[in-house]
This record gives sequence, C-alpha cells and structure tokens, in this order.
Amino acid sequence: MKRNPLGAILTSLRVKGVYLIPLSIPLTILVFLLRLYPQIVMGKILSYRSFPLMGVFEIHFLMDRLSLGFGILISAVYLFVTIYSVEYIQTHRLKYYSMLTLNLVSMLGLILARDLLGFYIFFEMVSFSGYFLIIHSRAKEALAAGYKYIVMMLVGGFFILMAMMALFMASAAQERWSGVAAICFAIGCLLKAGAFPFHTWLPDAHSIAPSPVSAILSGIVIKVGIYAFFRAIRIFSFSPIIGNVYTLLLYTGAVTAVFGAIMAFVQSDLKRLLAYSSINQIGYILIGIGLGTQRGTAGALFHSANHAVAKSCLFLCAGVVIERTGKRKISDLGMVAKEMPGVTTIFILASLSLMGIPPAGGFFSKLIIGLAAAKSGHPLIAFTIFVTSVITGAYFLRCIGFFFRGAAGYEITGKRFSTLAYLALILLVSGVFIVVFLPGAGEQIVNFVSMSQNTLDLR
Amino acid sequence: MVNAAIFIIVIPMFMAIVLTLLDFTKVRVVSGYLAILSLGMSFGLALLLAPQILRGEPFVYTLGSWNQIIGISLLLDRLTILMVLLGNLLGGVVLMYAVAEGKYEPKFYALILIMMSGISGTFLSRDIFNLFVFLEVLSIASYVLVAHYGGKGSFLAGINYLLISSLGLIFFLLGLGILYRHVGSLNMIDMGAKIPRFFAESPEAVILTLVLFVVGFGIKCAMVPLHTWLPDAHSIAPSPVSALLSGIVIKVGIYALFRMVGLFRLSPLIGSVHALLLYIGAVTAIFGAIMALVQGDLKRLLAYSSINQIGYILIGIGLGTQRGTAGALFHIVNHAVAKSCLFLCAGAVIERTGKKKISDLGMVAREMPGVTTIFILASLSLMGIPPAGGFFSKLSIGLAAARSGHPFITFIIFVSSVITGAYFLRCISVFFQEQEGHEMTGKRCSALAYLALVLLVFGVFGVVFCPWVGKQIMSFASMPQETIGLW
Repeated sequence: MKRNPLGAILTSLRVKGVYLIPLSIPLTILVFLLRLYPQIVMGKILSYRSFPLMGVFEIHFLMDRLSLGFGILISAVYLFVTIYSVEYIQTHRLKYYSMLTLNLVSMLGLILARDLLGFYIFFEMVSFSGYFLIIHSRAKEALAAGYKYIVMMLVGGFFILMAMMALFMASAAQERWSGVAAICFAIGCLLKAGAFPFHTWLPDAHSIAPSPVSAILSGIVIKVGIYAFFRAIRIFSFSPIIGNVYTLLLYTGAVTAVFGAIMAFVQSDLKRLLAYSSINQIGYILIGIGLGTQRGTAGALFHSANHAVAKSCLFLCAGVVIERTGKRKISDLGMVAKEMPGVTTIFILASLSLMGIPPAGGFFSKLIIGLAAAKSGHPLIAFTIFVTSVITGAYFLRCIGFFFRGAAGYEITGKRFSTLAYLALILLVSGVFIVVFLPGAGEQIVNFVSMSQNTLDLR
Repeated sequence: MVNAAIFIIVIPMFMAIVLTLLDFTKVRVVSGYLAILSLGMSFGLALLLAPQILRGEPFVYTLGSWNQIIGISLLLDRLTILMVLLGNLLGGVVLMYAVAEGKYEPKFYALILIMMSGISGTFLSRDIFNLFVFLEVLSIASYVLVAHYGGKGSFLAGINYLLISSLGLIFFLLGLGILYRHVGSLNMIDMGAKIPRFFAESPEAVILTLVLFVVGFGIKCAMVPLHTWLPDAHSIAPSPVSALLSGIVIKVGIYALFRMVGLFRLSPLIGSVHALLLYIGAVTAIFGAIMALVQGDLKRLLAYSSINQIGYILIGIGLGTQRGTAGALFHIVNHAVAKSCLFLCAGAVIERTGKKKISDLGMVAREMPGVTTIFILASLSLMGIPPAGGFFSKLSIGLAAARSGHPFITFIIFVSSVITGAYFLRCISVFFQEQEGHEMTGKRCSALAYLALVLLVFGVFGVVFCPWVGKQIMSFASMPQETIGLW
C-alpha cells in the first residue's frame, strides 16, 4: 500500500531528540509545583477562576496541600513513565505522546478543580485520553478492553452527573437529595477506582494496554476516585446518611482487598496479576477512607502514594520482562533473574512495598490503616488487612520464584533497554523507599490530609 | 437595509433557476460554486441584519408594502436570525463538501438551493400560512433529493418519506384551517393574543388544533411514534443531503414547535402540551439511543442518533422554562453542526471504502486519520463529553429538568447519554481495527472536503471557547416575551 513518505515521520515522529518535547512538559510542571511547595505547606491556598465556558459555566481552580501533594506525585510518575516510553514506544508516537500529555494535563486539572463541574469535565477527559492510550496497539483484544473501559467510565461519569443533579435538587428537599448525591458520587468514584463490584473493566484494560500506560492507569488514574473521596467526603458529612457511606466504603474496601488478593493469586498472566494486585491495594485505601477517622484517612493517603510509585514501577519492570522475553505467562518466565538481574532486583524491591515488608513505604501505610481500624473498633477489618497482606506476599513470591527458576524455554529476542529506561525504574524504586531515606517525608504526607481544605464546592 | 430580509429567500431561489438553465451551457461546472456563493450571500445578508436584531430591535418586513393580510410579511427576531444564520452557514459548508465530492449535476445544486430557500422562508415568515407554504417548498425539494439521488432503495425511501411527510403537512393545514376560522388571523403574533378567547368559545376546537399541530410538526421533526420515515430517508440520501436533512431540515419541525408553543402560551392547555412534549421527548431520546446501538449500517446509526438528540431538544422545549428553552436552542445549534459533520465524515468514509456496514470499516483510522479524528471530535459533542458544545447544552437541559422538578427526566437524559457514548465508541473502535486484505479503492478526500469538515468541527468547539457566542445563543430563549412587547 502506497503511503505518504512524510507519514512515517509525522505519525511516529522519527526525528532525533523529539522525545525531549513530551519529556519537558511533566518536568516543567514538576519543577513548578516543587517551587510552590514551601508556600503551600505553610497553609497558603491559591485559587483561580477560568474564563467562562460557553458564556455561562465557569471552572474554579484551587490549590491546597492535598492537591499539591497529588500534583507532585502525578507529575513525577508521568515524568518517569515518559522517560521509559522513549525506549518502549516506537510506533504512532505522535498519537501516544499527545494522548499522554492530554492525560497528564487533565489529571492535573482534575486535582485542581474546585467545583463539581470542573471535576466532571476533567474526569471525562482523563477517561477519553485513557481510552486512546489503552487501544494504542490497535489489536482486537485491546479494542475490546478499551471499549469495556470507556463504557464503564461513561457510566461512572453518569453517576457523577446524577450527583450534580441531586445537588441541584437539594435546595428543594435538602436531606433526601443530598443522600442521593452522596451515594451517586460514591458509586461514580468507586467505578473509577475499580472497587469490587465495579472492577470488571480493570484487569482487561490494565493488562492489555502498553506497559507504560498500564503503569499510569494503575498507579495514577485509578487514584482519581480515591482523590475525589478525600476532597468530597466532608461535604457530605452534614448528610444524615454519611455514616452509611462510610460503612459502605469500609466493607466495599474489605471485600475488594480480599477479592483482589485471591484473584491475583490465581492469575497466570504477569500483567493480569499486577492488575488484580491493584484492586487488592485499592481495597486498603478504601478501608482507610471508610474508617472516617483522621488516622485512617492519613493512612489511606500515604498508601495511595506508596501504591502509585510501587505499582507503576512493577508495571514498567513487567514491560521490560515481557518485551525482552516475548512471554507473558508467569510459568514461562524462568531464568529472568539470571538474564536480567537489575530488573529482577527492582521488581523485588518494589513488590516489598506492596507486600508490606518493613523498610518499604507500603509497610508503614498498611500498618497505619490496620492500627486505625483496630482503634476505631473494627478488629475484623484489621485482621482482613493482615491476612490479605499474607496473600499479597504469596502471589508476589510465586512470581519471583518463577523468575529464579532454571529452565528458560525461551530466547531473549527483544532488544536491550538502555540506561534511560533503567534510570526511570531506579528513580521510581527509590520513591518506594523514600520514607527510609527521608524520614520527614512520610510525616509530611500524613499531615497533608489534616491540613487540607476538604472543599469541593458543589455549585 | 430592511429589504435585505426578502433577499435571504430570493437569492437562492433565483440562483436555482439560473443553475437549471446553466445545465444546458458549457459553464455547468461552476454551478456548485455559484450555489455556495448564493448561500454565502444569504448568510452575509443575515449577518448584516444581525446587529440590529441583537440590540433588541426585531422588525417586520412586508413585501411590496401590501396589506398585511394579503401580503407576505417576514418577521426577524433573535430566534429567526439565529436559525437563518445557522441554516445558511451549514448549507454553504455542506455544499462545499458536495462540490469536493464532485459527482453531482447542476440540478442537484438547484434542488438544494430550493430547499435552502424554503428553509430560510420557513424561519422568516411571520404568518402561519406562509410557514406552511415554505414548509411545502422545502419538503418537495427534499423528497426529490432523497428519491432521485440516493443509493439503493432510494425510490422506496423517498416515497415513504413523501407519504408520511405530506400526511403531516395535511394535518398541519387542517389545524391551520380550524385556527383561521376561529381566530380570523394568520399572523402568529396576533393569534397568540386571541387564543384565550378562542379557547373560551370552543375548547374542543383548540384541542383538535393542538393535536393536529403536534402530529404535523411531530412528523417533521421525527418524534418517536412518527419517526418511521427518518432512518430510511436519512441513510439512503447522498451524504451532503443527509447532512442537511439531519442538520437543519428536522430543525424546521422543531422551530415550528417552538412557534406553536409560543402561539398557545396563553391558552390553559399549554401545561399539557409541555408535559406531552416532555414525555415524548424522553421516549424519543431513549428509543433513538437504543435503536442506534443495534444498527449495523453507519448512516442508519447516525440517523437514529438524530432521533435520540431530537429527544433532548423536545425535552428542553417541554420543560417550558427559560433555562430549558435556552438549553434546547443551544442543543439545536450543537446537534446541527456536529451531526452534519458526522454525516459528511461518514460520506467520506463510504466514498473511500465503498462499504456502509460498520463491521467492514476496519483500517479506516489507519487510512484516513484526518477524517477519523474529525469524526471522533464531532461525536464527542453528541456524546456530551466536555469540552465539546454538546456537553454544555445537554447539561443545561438536564439541570433545567432537575430544577423544574423532573429528576426522572434528567436521569433519562444522562442514561441515554451513556448509550450515545456506547454506540459512537462501538463505531470508533471498529475504525481502529486492523483488517487483513482490505483494499481502499474509492476516491480520496480532497482539500475542499477537509476544509468543510474542519470548519464544522471548529463549530463544535467554537461555541464553547468563544464565550460571546454561547451567551448570545442562550439569551435567544428570552425571545417570545420580547416580541409580545412589540405588537
């Protein structure tokens, strides 16, 4: 088929050094946010109003400690993932990088939006750019998974819209409608976060997407639902059913954690295992929020950060392994430890965090959530957390055990990854241990939640 | 200056005659460009008149200064000027695409011009009988366009369209007769004030008139039980014609409903008319969405999607509040732009691949990246995904429904939005599919066609990022009260 000679240059950006452009965007944002950090930490709040869209609607933006913390996390993970993508993504780079940048920008818009309208607008933009990232390979399964993903996200958006409507109605009949709003909002966010009854899209989408995209989706994008809970939960605290919402989150979280852990244990595909592991970890975060106490929320926030860093690191490692061996089944991955010692080490270190093994960050956040649960009179929940931690350890160690097995049964066909990709991995994995290197950091993160505004104006 | 009003209608009509004559000469190749020029002139004239009207000074133009009962009189207020601008702009852009496709004869352009002048006439006419006449003119032109130029099965679709649509017009004419007998005037502005007396005289006749009008206009704008002609006609017509039919011709029915609701605003029955439109709108929205989800043919999917979107507009009108009407008007604009863009994209895709079934359209994204991008962007507006215009209009209608105490209607709007997303994305994900042994044999899209598509897709997002336009459109909804003050 005759093609335009310029086409290859344009769509795949076969120009030297062109990756510096997509790289510069998260880097600039990260530097900018870090420069704002001292002011914001002192308790300053920046707010900004957009120009009127369509003459009537305006979006209000606000930056406080919570959004700044998420902003730094998001832009850092995007930066590392972009560094990794330079090597990994070879085709359709124009589409890939423009969608990746759109995804980053709309994620930042989402965490900075102050009102529900802005939240919804960026919510849908994140979903749509995510859809195009998932279907990047254009394979049949990818398209099917992408379709499943985007329809579920539209349903999630529908629930957010219903919450918006219910708040509009709230002026008439305060109590009933604010309850409806809280429930709808919670369902919308649970859908986005991939919590138990609404998780069906997650394993497909996260395992079929290209590995850097999986890293973003699992590490960052599902945290949208979590972030919205941090922001909005106090608005609904006046509603008489807030207790029910907390209980709903608590038990959904527990079920999600157990379900995700057990499902991850029985997976044979490496990336599906990681996807179910995300469901498992989201469960802990939901438990933390559902406790409704200061400690629980702090633990949940800390665990979001740990999971974001560790899971994106794991997905990137899986990407290297799958790319080089050409195999996705865990049982086929013998000799990986011998062939790729660096990647294996990083994989093990990152998985320590999710297993909850002490020096890694995940241990502390899981412990905080568990102790908070015990303190607020839910020993059963604390028990569940520690039991599922054991299962988490089991499935990760099963996987690692295969890496160390002798029989190869495959040939290393894929190309080597350069230092750039390894740099991204090393930076990410050092994020996992940041609480060890920088003892103040964990405390800072935990404090964020207590000082943040907790406002999401709902028009 | 005021004379410009009649030229909006006359120029395309005159050009249509010129084009029919040009068919016999050597210069017939320029006929498409002449057609675009004439629509451009109409648009320019409407644009000249716009500032005065936007200042809040609507006026009436009486042709040849005849007595107002006999003569043709035109009313220009905010609503009409908006619709005329929209219609002529869309007509011009769609003709640009038709010229780019380059397979049509001068008679085709002549028919389109007759249709366009009928559309402008319908929007501009002040008395209700002229409205009927112009509606008839545009309908006849569109029957011929569907039946004569369409693809396979076009004759049947055309006849179907003709029979059902004429039936609707007959209903309208009957209602018109009854109304004239009792009110003694055809002037839509005068009539509005006389309706309460009419109702006191014989309520049955008012009910009968209303039923006849709703059925008549309902057929024109494809409300649900009366929609049967639409999927065939819109999917079989050539793509530029489908774009105009879905973009602007069904909006004529909506405009007539707007006027009718304005006419009967003082009658005690207006509440039930609103309720009727509201619930029919909800049924239409859901029905159209579900039917679109199960279609196998690309253009039929788009046709059912029009039914779905018409449902939202009917809901907006049926709410009867300022906000609802504003949302409905804005959704008219958004749907007109987005749907004509989608039909033109579908036309380009079908032209290139020679296939109409959605499942055969793999590789389209690879072969026609520009058209696919435009298709996706335009469909975002209809799915109601921010920041496209359709999101804001749908949201306005939804929130207006919630405000006026119909949370269930809002629920229906948002649910059918999800279904809209599902059917458009089904289509888009097929575009991205890779298929083996697939040959793209048809014609490539020319630059002019791309220009038309790009202009339309700018329209989808333009209304959002140019705040002035959105504000103006939303303020048009205050029109009926304004005109009452004048007469």
